[in-house]
Amino acid sequence: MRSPHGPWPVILCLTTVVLTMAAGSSLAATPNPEQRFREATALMRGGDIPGALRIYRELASAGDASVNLYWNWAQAAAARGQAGEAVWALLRGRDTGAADAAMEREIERLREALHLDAAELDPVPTARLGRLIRRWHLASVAMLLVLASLGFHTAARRSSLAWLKPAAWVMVVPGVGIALVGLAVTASRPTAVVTTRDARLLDAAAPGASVVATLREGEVVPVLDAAGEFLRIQDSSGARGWVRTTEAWRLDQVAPPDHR
Amino acid sequence: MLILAALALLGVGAGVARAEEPEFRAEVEARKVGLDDTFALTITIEGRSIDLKGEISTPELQNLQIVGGPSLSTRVSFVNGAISQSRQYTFILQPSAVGTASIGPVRATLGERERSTEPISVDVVAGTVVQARPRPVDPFDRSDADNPFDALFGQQRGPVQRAKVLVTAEASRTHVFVGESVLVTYYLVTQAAIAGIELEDAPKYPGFWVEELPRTDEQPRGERVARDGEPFQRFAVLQKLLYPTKAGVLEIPAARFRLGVPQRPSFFDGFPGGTTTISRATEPLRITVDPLPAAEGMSGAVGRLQATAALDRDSVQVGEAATLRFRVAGTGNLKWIEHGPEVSIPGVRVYPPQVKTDVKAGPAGMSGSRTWEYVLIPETVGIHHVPALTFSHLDLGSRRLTRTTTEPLELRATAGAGSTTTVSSAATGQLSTPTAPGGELRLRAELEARHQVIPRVTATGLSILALVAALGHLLLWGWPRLSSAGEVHASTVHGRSTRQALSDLRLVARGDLSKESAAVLVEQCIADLFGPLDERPAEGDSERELALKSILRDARFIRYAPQLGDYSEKLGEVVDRAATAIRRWA
Repeated sequence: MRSPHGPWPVILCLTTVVLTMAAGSSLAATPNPEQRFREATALMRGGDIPGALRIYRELASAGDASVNLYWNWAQAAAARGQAGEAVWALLRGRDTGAADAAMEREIERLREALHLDAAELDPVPTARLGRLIRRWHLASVAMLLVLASLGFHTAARRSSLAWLKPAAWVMVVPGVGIALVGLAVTASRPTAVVTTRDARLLDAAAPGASVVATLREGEVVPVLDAAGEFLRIQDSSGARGWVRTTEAWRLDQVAPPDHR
Repeated sequence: MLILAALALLGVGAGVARAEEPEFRAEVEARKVGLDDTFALTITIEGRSIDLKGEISTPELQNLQIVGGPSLSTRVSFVNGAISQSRQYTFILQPSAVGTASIGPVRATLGERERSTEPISVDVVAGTVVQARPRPVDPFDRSDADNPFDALFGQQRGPVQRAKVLVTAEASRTHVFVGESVLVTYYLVTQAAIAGIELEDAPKYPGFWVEELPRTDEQPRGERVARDGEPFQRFAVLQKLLYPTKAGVLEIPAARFRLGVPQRPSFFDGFPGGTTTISRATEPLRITVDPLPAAEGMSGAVGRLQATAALDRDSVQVGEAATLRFRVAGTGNLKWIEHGPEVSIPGVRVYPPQVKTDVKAGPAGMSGSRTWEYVLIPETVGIHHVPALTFSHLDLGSRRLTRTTTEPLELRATAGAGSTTTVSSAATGQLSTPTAPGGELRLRAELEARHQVIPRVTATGLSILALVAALGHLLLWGWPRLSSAGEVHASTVHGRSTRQALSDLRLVARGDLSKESAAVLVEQCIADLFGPLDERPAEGDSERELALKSILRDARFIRYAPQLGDYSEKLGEVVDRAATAIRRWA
């Protein structure tokens, strides 16, 4: 038996779910994040960099991350001489929001200062495409296109309007295409930034493991596996091993665990 | 000869390995001699390696005759692997007449090369010119007056092998702690000249850390010693600095040496004989090693050591680097100290230390210093206290565990212009990361956090989306066809498919048929595709049934209507409705 109202109740439900999720994330936000951010800025100017970093970490963990937060985080890390952490913050900032030319320039400046090749900051080829998809919410666009195409297709079965069916096909092709590209990108390996100078690449995920190499600070490495406080990574020379999560921070984490 | 060649071939010692070209020269005692004088012509081969193939040639002499020799003198020095050798042939010559005498070149094959000395000319005058000169003393020279065999045998003495030759090993200490140095010296103790000495096998030191002593180019100095009432010459040929790594009674195994002993010159031809090889071994040594006293914080260091701590500056700006140096200096096993003290200062970032070692090994042990350099970067304004650092070691002066504590230090951190931010690359040994050309922080004032209204779609979400799209469209596209497939089967029973029905309707629409035939064809198409239908509407009929029944009613009206009217328009409208219904529901 067919529903007398067609697919519209389903679409309505999905929209409700999406809006509810958005509202939920807004409600979960930290109260007065702007005020806390200004407090952190004041601490930075007063020389209390650890205090400022604590607030930045707190805001990021609460979902109040922004390009500006990661920008200031990078400034604080650089002021402490933590170039790797600064690179991590800048790359997080780039992934977080809209295109920021200053952020791009700062990443480039740090890359040159750390004597890193451009490929060492972009080891996963699909990462750039992933950023594009995230920045323009193309995955959501794909979802809307697919849902709309289903709606048009359903309507075409019930109405004699000739344009409905071509419209459905016109929407489903880019929708599914973007969804598949997004799927490939999101399924690609996550990455981490080496945040410690001479971070040790170990032969096992154990505290007493032997050191097989040292990693370059600021280098972005693909994460192959994770086990407790260790990440299995591959460096730019192809060497694979384990590194502590305190020495390589994942880029898909809003704020790394505070071990410092 | 053989042993010298063997030494060169075996590459004993770095000096041999370097294989520098030996010096080959001829010298006379005097360039002006009297007719009644005799004088010495000395042919010398000298170098780190002497690879003499065969013998030297006898020089061509003019106005001279050989009245003695050749006698052979060889000398080898071998200390800690550095070897130096010389071989001297001495001819005693006498002029034949007043005037000019000449000595032609002497030829010899050294290694792969043919070498020759420069010719020498000598003025011969009447009478006597050359004074008798004392011969130089050579500890290895067989003609040494101190050699007991000279006194025993004189010119008639027997073969050199009868003299006593032995090697010994002596340890500077036989009872030590783990990590305390022991100097082991190998001696050649001999009553005879030795042409060469080498180790048969590398000596082994199980349970010891071996520290090589720097090589020296000094000639070995012999000393007179007495063993069992007999006089000997003793030469130190090898020294090793050992550090026991475990407690217990450790044995240093015997070391075996190969010695080259030159033969006496042949009585008949006056040329020197060859060299025989003999083997001698030391006695094993036993060292008793006590364990280090167990104590918390014991560094493992043993010796006479002092620890100090210092800051390179007292005051820095926040974000600038100061260097804390923790230095352990003195004599002891400095290389064994692996870790410096843990340094933790609240409000100051402390980098892992860089270790600098300046240690020289000598017979008394390792002396020098080991320094841990910590880079400190204050992160807050104020006075930061560097705590007293402790260092525990076994002091060999008191032979007790000693704990040294350095003086606490203070580091003042001030807020500089722009309140931060450059890190001295020289101090940290790493990247300098100024945040701005002037060192000023470039901070952004507003957070501008925008919560995502559109939630991020995850990989799972995208997978579900692609699946839903595919399935949804497949169902929408495929279901009617699946249904129609069933209907095709049904229509096959009734003899008409959807396609055929639509074709028949197009035939009706062309107007070639009579109204009765056209109406029947429409009715048959509907009946074939949808089954028999009652044209009367009933309660609960669906949209489809209502539409089909309406078409059937109109078709039957046209069929049974009087012939007088024009029903083509009405028929066309019914055909359109029937086609639409068939496309939609069939």
